[in-house]
This record gives sequence, C-alpha cells and structure tokens, in this order.
Amino acid sequence: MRRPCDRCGEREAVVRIESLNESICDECLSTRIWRRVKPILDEEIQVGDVVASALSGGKDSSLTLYYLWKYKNESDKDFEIFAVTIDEGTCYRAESISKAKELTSRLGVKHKIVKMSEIFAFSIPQVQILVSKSKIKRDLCTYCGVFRRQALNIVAREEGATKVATGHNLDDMVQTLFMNLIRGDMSAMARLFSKSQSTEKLIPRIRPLAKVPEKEVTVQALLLEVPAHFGKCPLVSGMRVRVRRILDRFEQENPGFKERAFNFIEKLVKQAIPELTYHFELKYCKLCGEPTTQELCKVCQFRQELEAEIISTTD
Amino acid sequence: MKVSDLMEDLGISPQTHIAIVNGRPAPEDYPLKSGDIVEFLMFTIHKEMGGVQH
Repeated sequence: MRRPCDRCGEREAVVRIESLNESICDECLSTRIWRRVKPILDEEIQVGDVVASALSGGKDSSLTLYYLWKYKNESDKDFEIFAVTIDEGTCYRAESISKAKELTSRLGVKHKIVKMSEIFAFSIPQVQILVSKSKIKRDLCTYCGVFRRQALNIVAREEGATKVATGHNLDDMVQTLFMNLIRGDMSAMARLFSKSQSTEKLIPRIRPLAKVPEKEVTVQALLLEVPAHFGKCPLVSGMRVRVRRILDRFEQENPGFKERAFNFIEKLVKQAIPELTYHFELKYCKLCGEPTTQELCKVCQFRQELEAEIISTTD
Repeated sequence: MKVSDLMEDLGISPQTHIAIVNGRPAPEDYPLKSGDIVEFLMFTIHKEMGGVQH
C-alpha cells in the first residue's frame, strides 16, 4: 500500500482533506459524507413524502438521487422518490440526460424529462441569442437558474411531489452566501436558511449535499460509479464563476474556510434575523400565478424584458 | 514524486481538479511510481466559458 488511510490505516487513501490534514480511504470517505447527508434527510423527509429529485445528470444531482434511493432502502420511513430533468436545450445537455437515464434505470426510479421550451416557449440558447444582441447586461446563468427553478417547481407540483431535492453542495452554498453578501440581499440570505413554506404552489426544497464539499462529492461519485456527466456547461458565465475563483483561493490558503464560513453565516443569520428566516412573505405572481416574494415573479420580469427586446429589435 | 508535485508542475489546482492514478482517485500526497497512469478530472471551473459577454 503506497498511501494508507490516515483514519483506518487499512485501505489506500483516495482523497485529501486538507482542513483535517489527512488523506482518507473510500470507506472512511463514505462514512464521512453519509454522516453529513443522513441528518439532513432525517430532518427534511417525512413519512408519506413524495420527493422529486432534480436530476441534471451531473455529479451533484446524480449523487443526490443515489443518496435518496439509499435512504429510502435503508430507513423505515415510507416515502416515494422520482427524478425530474429539465432540458434547457443547451448542446451539452444530451450527454448528461443520457447519464441521467442510465442512473434512473439502474436504480429503478421513475424519471420525468421535460423540455424548458415546452413550459416557457423558449430555450436557453434562444435567450442567449436574444441577450447577446441586446443591451441587457445580465449573465445567461441568471436566466437559466431562474427559468430552471420555476420549471422544476411546476413539474414537481404537477407530478404530486411534496419536496424537491437539489444537488447543491457546500461550495455552491458558500458561493450563494457570498453572492448575496455582495448584492446586499439580506432577504435572499435569510431564505437560504429558512425551511421553505409549503403552499399549494411552492414545493419545499431540500439540499442533502449542502454540507459536503464539491471535491468529496466528485470522488464519491467516481468511487460509487454513479453514472454522471462531468462536463461543464459551455455557456457558463457570471458572478458565480468569479466568486468561486476567489473563494477557492481563500480555501487553498486557509483550509476549511468554506465550511467555517457556511457555519458562521448560518448561525449569524438564524440568530440575528429569525423573523426573516422563518416568516418571509410569499405572494403569487400577478401574471402567471406562480409563487414569488414580489409582485411579479422573476420569470415574468425576465420575459417582459426579453419581449421588449424583441419588439425594439424588430422596430 | 507526489501527485501534488505533478499538479504544481502542470499548473493544476487541487481546488479545481482531482487526480486519478491508474483508474482510481488519489490524494495529493499520493506517491507516484514510474509507469503510473495519471489523469486529472476537472470538477469545477474558474473561468467563464461562454454565455453572453458584455
């Protein structure tokens, strides 16, 4: 054995955990991750729940579905799971959908695939063309995120889901925290730590991997041979990429920074603004009726903006 | 030579890539031997790849 595990000493190490100054084996990694995932599932999933697992076919959402399946098989709780894939129409999606199909077939989980254009009458590549020709200074990822989130909620609701599970990992969560900080968006910060309100139209979201670093998610997905696409979206742009670069530099120089930052901000937000974290007001969009915190939902705001662009460019 | 030495030589960050040695993930402090096949898997990105540039 060339590099034994620092914990058990019995198996070859597969990943370095810099913050703990140790390298650990596949079994110790599995135990470490499951100890972080299971308490979230224990708390968030109730008997009778129908959980829609958002499945892009990437490593995060694929591992999320795998853990939901494992939890269902190992726990006494009676609940249902199914997978939902939103096809936003980008060229790289075909391969990830193929991986998603492979995974759901292997696990025996129902899989619903819906094209974004069937819900909103346009795809992300179409939005890209429109935005690139206009004066709108908004990153494409912003549109994609907003449209996908609402599409997922709509499909999950139509399929009878009571919870939506997403593949957000610790790195995603910390990036979102700092993006909210940069924008000064206290309300968004508070919502991130709130239990979603369950209403007729808004399906509460759960994030089983919220405390698992992206690097560990990657290694675990490889070791479990979970079918997953490791490609990157060719259209990625925006603040998140820049924030990620900066946070990764901090992590490199201060191992464990992301986890400490997440725990610190979570504690701070929950203690400082409990009324915000648990009682934000939910409204319904005046145009489409979908749940929102504003008069118009983001999708309708963006649609109006894009439609105005179409009119101005055809004039 | 360790995986981390190779990563440094190639300018690859452990914040964006993991090493796969002979088909299995390996930590940065994994000692390499002659004949090992080393691949790097990028699990996140640090630069904008497309989208809409302004």
